[in-house]
Amino acid sequence: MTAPEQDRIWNLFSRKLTGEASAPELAEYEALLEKNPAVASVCREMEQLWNQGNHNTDTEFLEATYLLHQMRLEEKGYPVEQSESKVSGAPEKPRSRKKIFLSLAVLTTLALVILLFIPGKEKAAPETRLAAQTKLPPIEVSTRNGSHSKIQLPDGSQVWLNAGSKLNYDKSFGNNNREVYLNGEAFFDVVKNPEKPFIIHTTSMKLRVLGTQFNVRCYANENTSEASLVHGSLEVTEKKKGRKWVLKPNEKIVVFNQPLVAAAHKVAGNNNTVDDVPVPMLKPLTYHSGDTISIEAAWTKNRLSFKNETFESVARKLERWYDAEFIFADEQKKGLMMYGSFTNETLDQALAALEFSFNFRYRIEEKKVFIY
Amino acid sequence: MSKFKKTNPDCPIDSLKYQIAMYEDTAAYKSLFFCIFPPLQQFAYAILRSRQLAEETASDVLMEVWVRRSKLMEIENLKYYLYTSVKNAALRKLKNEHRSAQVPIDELEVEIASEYATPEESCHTHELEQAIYQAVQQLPPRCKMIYKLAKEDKLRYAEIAGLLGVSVKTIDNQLSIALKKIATTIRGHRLKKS
Repeated sequence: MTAPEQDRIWNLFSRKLTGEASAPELAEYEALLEKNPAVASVCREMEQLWNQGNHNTDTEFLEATYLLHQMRLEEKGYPVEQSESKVSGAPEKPRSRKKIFLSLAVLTTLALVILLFIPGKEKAAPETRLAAQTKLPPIEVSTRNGSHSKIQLPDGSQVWLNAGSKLNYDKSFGNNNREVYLNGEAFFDVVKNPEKPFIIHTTSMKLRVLGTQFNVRCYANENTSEASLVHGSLEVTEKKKGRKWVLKPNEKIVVFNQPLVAAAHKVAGNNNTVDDVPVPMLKPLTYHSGDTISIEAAWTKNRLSFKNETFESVARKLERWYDAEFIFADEQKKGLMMYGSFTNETLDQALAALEFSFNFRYRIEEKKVFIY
Repeated sequence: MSKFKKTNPDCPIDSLKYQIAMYEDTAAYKSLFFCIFPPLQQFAYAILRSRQLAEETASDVLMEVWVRRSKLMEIENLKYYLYTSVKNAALRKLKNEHRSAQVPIDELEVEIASEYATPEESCHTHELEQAIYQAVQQLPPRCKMIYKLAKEDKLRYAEIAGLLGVSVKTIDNQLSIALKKIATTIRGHRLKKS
């Protein structure tokens, strides 16, 4: 065999080993090997050695390195929650790092009311995984317009469900974790349990709670979703873009459901989708002067409260609260800015009071309210 | 039961990427870490010459994978992306420490055996493997680096070329040289035995 032929063999051989060789190249390689059996034998041995594993990995060391890596992620605020990936019902061993983190959170006595509104495409994952694990149909609690209800979850946590809302949870709630699905509005008073974080899913957000009091508001027909924290600490994840916030007491996050521009485009007959959703905003909770309970949580005390809201938005609240239907004969009235607070008034009394302060007239016919 | 095991050279990186991006699968993320952290760390070490910095760099890059998991599917070639990220991060670290790379990246001295292996274990290795190990250790730096990235890290020619800033032809040549060297070693070993 000539020297160039020898070189050619190594060239082709390296291409073969790395998977870069084309079919003609492989054929050429085989042909050259036939001419030189000695080389062929060496090549066969090399091929064997090439394909076997490289390193002897010290798995214990790598485990320790991974643990350190997880700690760095947690410190950065992006914990890798191992429990979510387990499909079996094996109990979670609490990690000591997690305990430290949790006890710090427990010390902060801030309340976060979290209103979660995040419409838009859901990410497949968390719900799919929960659904995959669930064998029994979930328990559902719902309220119609005009009623609220208060329920107690198996772990002792209390949930006030506002009108027109629905709460779902698995029968195995409390066994390994505490997960619920919310559509609408609810106020949560969650029992502290560091071993089992309380997780709330809405269409657009995921909340992780340790033991706090907070409000979640996520109605399909609203422009925004809100999560308001009264006491404790709450981690909020926006599903659409994966953004995260940790709310402090007396803070709320407002997420816009629909891009304002897209809405305008739709009206103009333009069907291009615009992914121009305004960025979610962190805001303090709102209060009527002299009140100790925030407007966001007032409904739990049977108080219907609103401040600086359009009549259109107030009407939606009234619709749910009183189980009525509002019809705006005068479209312009939709934009009237209003404030108010009602505790035990009937629909008629409430409207009369509002009519006194704001520029509109109304007429009630059975369950329909006409505004003009 | 031995705590040592041969790593599977085939890291199913695309399926792990999918699991992590779509399902936030933490088991998949851990698998990814286990199969890609060691080679990434080695590559960083070749640049930084510091164990601690190399581990930090590899860890930083893998942290980003979790932090930006919702955007993972946007990365076509995750493996190449990770190597490039490690290279850039390592070079940045060098800059921050006011150390410039002494030599161009393809001339860096790279390790062949993983430092995660212990000395005792290599004593059990086949005599021939040891001979080959020695032969590869003695390859010129560029040749050794290319050999390592191709054989151990299983990178494609184009990926190695991009990473090191050399042409594919160079990869071709250097790998031929490496294989020729190994072939010589094997022949020598066989002659010794007979």
